Amino acid sequence: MDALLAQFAPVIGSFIAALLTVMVFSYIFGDNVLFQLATHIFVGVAVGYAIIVIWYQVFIPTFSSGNFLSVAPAFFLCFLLLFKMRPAQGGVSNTLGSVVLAFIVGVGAALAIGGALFGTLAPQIAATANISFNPTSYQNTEAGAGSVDFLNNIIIVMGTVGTLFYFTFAVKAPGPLGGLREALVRFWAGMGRLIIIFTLGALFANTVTSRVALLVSRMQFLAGFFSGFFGQ
Amino acid sequence: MDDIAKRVNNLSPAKRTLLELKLRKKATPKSLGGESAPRDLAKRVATLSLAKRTLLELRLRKKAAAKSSGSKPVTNDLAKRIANLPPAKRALLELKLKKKAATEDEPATHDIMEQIAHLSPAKRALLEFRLTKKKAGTSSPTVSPSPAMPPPTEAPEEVVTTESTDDTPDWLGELPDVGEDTSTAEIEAAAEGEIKMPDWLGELPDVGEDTPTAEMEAAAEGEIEMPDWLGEEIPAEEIEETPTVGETSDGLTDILSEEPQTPSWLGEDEISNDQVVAEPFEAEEEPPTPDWLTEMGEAIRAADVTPPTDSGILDFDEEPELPAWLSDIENPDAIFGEVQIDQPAASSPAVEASPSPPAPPSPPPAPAAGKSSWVDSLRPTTEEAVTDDRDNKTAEATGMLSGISALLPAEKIAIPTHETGSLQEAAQEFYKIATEAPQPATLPTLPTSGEKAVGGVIRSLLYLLFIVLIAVPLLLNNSQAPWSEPTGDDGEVLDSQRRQLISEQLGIIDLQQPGSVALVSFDYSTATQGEMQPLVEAIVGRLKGQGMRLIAVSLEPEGAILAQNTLERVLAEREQEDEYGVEVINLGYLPGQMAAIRALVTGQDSLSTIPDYKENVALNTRPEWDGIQSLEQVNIIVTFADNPTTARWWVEQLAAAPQPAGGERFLLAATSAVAEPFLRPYRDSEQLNGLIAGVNGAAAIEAGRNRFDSARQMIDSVGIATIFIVFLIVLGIIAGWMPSQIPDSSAPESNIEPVESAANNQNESST
Repeated sequence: MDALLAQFAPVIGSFIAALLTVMVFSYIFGDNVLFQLATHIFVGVAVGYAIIVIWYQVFIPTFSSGNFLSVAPAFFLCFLLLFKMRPAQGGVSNTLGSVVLAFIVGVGAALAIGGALFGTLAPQIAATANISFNPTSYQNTEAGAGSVDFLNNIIIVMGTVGTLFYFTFAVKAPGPLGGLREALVRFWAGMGRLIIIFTLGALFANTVTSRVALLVSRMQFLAGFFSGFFGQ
Repeated sequence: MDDIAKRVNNLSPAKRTLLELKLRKKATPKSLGGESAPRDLAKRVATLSLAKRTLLELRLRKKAAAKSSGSKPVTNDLAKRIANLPPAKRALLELKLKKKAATEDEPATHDIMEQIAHLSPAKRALLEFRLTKKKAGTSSPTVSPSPAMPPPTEAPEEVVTTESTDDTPDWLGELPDVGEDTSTAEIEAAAEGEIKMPDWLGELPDVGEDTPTAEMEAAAEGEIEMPDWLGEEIPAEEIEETPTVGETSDGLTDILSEEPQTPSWLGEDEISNDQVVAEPFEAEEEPPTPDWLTEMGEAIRAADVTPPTDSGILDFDEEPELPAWLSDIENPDAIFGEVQIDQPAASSPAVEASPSPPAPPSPPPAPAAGKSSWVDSLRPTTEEAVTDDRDNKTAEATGMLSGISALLPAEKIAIPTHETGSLQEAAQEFYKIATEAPQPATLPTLPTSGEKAVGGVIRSLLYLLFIVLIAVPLLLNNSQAPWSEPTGDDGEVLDSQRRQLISEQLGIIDLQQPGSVALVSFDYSTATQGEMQPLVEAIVGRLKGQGMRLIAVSLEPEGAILAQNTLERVLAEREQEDEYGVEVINLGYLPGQMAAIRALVTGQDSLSTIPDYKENVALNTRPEWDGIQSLEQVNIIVTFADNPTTARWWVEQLAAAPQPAGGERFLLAATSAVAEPFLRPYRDSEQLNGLIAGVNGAAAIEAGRNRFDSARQMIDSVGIATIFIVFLIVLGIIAGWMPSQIPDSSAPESNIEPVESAANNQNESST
């Protein structure tokens, strides 16, 4: 029985996958019950699988470790988190649930701030500050000409400065210096605006490419499935 | 009192008989004071008490007024007017004065002329005002202060302070106090008779009410009943509460202002001689004094009415002895000094000859007690009030702000009326927009069902065309290279570029020694598996081809099974299925996301204690993995992330991690095409030792291995789809630029206004 199931399981799985893929593609003709059924199945299977994975990957190894006292606080906090199942509640139960959420949010914020500060902000500032404006410092390599790297770095600097100026909101200061400042801000803000437009365009293009790749992958699966189903 | 006797004597025999008959009807066997009633009507009337006689005269006068018609000449002289009063009205006025004087224990007088003559000018003006008010009701309601009004005599303060105001009737109490201003509107309202009438005047029968002839006939036949007010005795309380002269304002002035006239009903021959004959007149017999007269006399005595003096004149010589109802007026000027009286005062004959000039309107009232002083400061003076009345008709008429016209109404504040230029136009436009009723939003017309069907069909055809274009390379390409890959020299260039890319981004893998440990994190889900899977398989195969040991983890629950499938597939390709658990192991899902990375980086969580996904066996129980405790023993970390956030977690948290004891730790990122732009700065700053993304990255790896796997198979489809999408975008932009409605060339040009000309017109109007 197990051998039979192991033999036909991939075939059944492929058939179900192909069927669900076609059901999702039925959205071409508008929203319909097949599409809704496929999406609901996808969400349900994903959540169910996540629960099973967490149970077997998190809870059982923790309980089976034998060191229950070390994980007791974590399980107590998990138990308090159950008080947040019903949103509209007040009093002590809500407070207990909020304590757990505060703990989670606090730890997450601390990690994010620390990581962003030491992993993104400081290194990126240092990297931008190390850009050289001397063309002779860029040598030709196998990856490309040195002039290209120089131009690329110039664009990076101008784009960074321009983007920062674009988000500068101030009124014109009186006097000749105020006019000069206004002109500089306008110039760099326009530059930043162009950089932002190009950046958003590039992001959109990458997103389209990524989603098209997903579609092509599904079509590739269907093509392989039907080729194998019809014996080609 | 002789007038009434003369008038009765002048009556026709029939009417005099009728009057006598009425008196006899009311007479009872009881005698008044033991005296026999005079048979002669004149004598009988003369012997009546003053009250009864006055009431009788009043009754006669009412009948006469009912028959009279037309306006009577009005005299401005109070003395003349009173002198011209008929005896009945004069007697009534005298009675009222007497009653009031009796309540104040003052000597009463029967001479109304002398009483009025002894009144103070203010009180006389009050009386005159009351008389004039009724007359002015038919003419102009506007009253003006008489310039000839003599200055009022100051009433002694003793009287003012000692006199009780309890006797003041209600209607007089409603008059404004001395310290209280009377607005013009109130004075006009008073002149129009809006002031509340006293009860005793309101209960009087209407002057214009005519007595029907039948009633007279019934009276002649002895069936008529005397009116209650005439037949009933006057209780002492009513006498006490009887209004004074000042209260005779409305009803009494009607009577006083009319000319003395013989009642028409007495003059008319309404009673036939037969009726007179039918009722034998017992002229020789003195009828007994009726009971109602006796009771009236007793009631008057019970009310402690001071009998009139011999002279019949009230003693008004002493000012402090003024009645309380007159003394309550503390400052007559406060009332009458502002009152416009059309006719001059009685004491000004010179002014009487010439008409009074039009007086200015009365100033607004002075602030009453309890009102704010700043409100008083806004109240205009007399001259200002005149100007305000002419310029501004919106002055407040009631309330605390009465008379204040300087206040701008709200609508005048909101409407700019004086400014000119663009600012005014802009303000008017804003006012128009702000005050106009909200209009329903102009929504585009919903497409009809036919239009919806056509749109759906077109859209479905585009989708189908898109899918067909994508499927064509997948189904028809039987070669070992994509259609889009150039051949020849261009192909060599492409291969060179791909090798360069792999060398730059994945060259660090080639530097690793066989048996070194790589931690591979599967941080993508099934939703992005189609894009990520070729790249992941290519990199895992490259790692495995380098002879490295792989430890797979996942920050996503779904990543565990994806990692397991990938490892098994790669091992199957390499026919190394038995290496799972020896060279390759999947530790599965690590809960906590960023916190899990932090725990691994800091050594809080040990890799050796985590059971694997497939066999649930930890590393520390496997001898092959002995010595692998934490990330310090890991030489390279590779994250397969479908989003930039997860990859950034690894970058950021590894920046705070201690470097491995055995050397440098490397970090690679294989991501989707979406995440590549976000992670490029980290690669440029060398926080990432390698970054490869999307199908193109996977195709480059496959090309380097001279394989035509899934990534290279997708290249043509992705290229065709991208071209088709660009075509649709360009087509949509062109369609968007086109006008929605093509203007009709036959339409007049004036209806189609160019945009530039409209803008120019707007600029011209604004400047």
